[in-house]
Amino acid sequence: MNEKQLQQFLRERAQKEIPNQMDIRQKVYEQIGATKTRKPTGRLGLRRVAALVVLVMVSATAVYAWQQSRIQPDPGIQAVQSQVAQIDQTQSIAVEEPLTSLNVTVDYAYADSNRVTVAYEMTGTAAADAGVQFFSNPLLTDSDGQPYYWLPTSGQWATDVQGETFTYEGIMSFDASMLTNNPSVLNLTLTIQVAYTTAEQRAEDQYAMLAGGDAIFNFTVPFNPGQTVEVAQSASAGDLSIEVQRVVIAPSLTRLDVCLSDATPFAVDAWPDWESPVSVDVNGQRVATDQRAGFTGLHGEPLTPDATCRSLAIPTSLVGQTGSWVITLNGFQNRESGQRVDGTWSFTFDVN
Amino acid sequence: MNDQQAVARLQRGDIKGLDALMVRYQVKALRTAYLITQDATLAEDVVQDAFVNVYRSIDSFDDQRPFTPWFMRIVVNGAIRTARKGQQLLPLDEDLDLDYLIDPAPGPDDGVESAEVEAAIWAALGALPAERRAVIVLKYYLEMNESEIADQLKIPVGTVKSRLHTAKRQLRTMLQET
Repeated sequence: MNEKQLQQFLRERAQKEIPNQMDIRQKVYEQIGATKTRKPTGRLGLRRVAALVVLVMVSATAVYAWQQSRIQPDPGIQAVQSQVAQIDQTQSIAVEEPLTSLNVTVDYAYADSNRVTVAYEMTGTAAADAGVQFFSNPLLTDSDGQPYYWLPTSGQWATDVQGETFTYEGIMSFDASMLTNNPSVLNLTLTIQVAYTTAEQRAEDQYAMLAGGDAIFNFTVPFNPGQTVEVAQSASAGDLSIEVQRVVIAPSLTRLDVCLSDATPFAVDAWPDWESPVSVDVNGQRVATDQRAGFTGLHGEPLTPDATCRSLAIPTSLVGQTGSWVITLNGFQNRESGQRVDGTWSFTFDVN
Repeated sequence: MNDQQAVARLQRGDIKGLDALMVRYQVKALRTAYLITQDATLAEDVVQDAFVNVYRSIDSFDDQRPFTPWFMRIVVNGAIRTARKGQQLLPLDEDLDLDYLIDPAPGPDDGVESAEVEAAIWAALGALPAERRAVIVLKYYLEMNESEIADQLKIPVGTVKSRLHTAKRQLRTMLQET
């Protein structure tokens, strides 16, 4: 055996046992999601909490009537207002200065074939001169340990500070498209990781955060099944062909499972941040206009930059719209980089 | 998204930075860990732990340095530690039933013989101490030079040379003995 043969042997053995398509990301996410070792105080590696998937910031002064909240949910959640489950569970987290109290409440939750949405609130008090700013990192799993990943364009939050008192409200939606067996209910565990910064610490390091602690909630939510329509139709514009394999119409969100002829135009640095303004016509009537639809992974998996097959989540309710549908994707724009993939792709099919 | 951008993104708190790094490195890491541990399940554990380690300690990583050596060091060291736990070292003169390696010329039973040869090489590699096996994997699978291996394992170049020499001699002996 010479060195070349040894090299070849190692390569072949490794390729045989570990195929190219092997993917352990889900297991890593499960491990990270299961981590509850954050200390209540002390500077931690919590920069990542800053992600917060806070994609839509709502003015702290804006007041909406919905659920007595500062946040107005997206149209899909507004459409299922009567189906949300009031959870109203509160937990207190032990805190140290400059925080003097911290309570986390899960207000309501909703689940259907395309998403699980939770609304929560953090309230408490802190030294008024500390300049405390709050952040949250919601993580969701079910009783089988299945993690649910954030849906694109779904995070909303609002904060309000009045003297020593602060309030933070958040809404987050998670991809539920891996659920194909239509359970009657979902038994869920929601972990809200709380982090904060102070004015003094921001001056030192603008990214570092302090851990406020975790609040863990277990609750049950009724599951609202959706309707699946097999489409298997392609449309082309420019060099890009898009095939819509199926459409899943759930009460709060409509999902298109699509395959792209080439994912290269989307595999840019800010690859998770593509959106398409989508319009939907049913029987010749416009029922949805310029809905911001974002990509997510197929079947509840995380999206990868070069995935040719993926889902497009349209956050609007189209349940009950039967007849001839026309879904039009009016190009794509990357909300972070501003890059564009121009074109119009239309798909016509019947929903009974 | 290149490594530096992915790291910066993860340091800013964006989990998608980790996703990009996992997409890019998981297969290479799994294969490397597999060759060192000789067990696919253990390799998965090693690489999962390595990515969790990255997630937890990314704040301490200097984003001006390349990500690959840092990450692969975590993987290789994890694989060595794991391999050490279950390893029962065979002495050089252990009967490994390698008689058929005396005449490696292709013959009518070439297919069978080839499988046997591969099994023998695998067994011989498995009989090496984990540190020496790791050096072989870094040299012949990851195609690193001695200086890179030394940097990767944080050991002197002389130690790398010594481990490589001893490992090759040990392999040769085991594959030609009897």
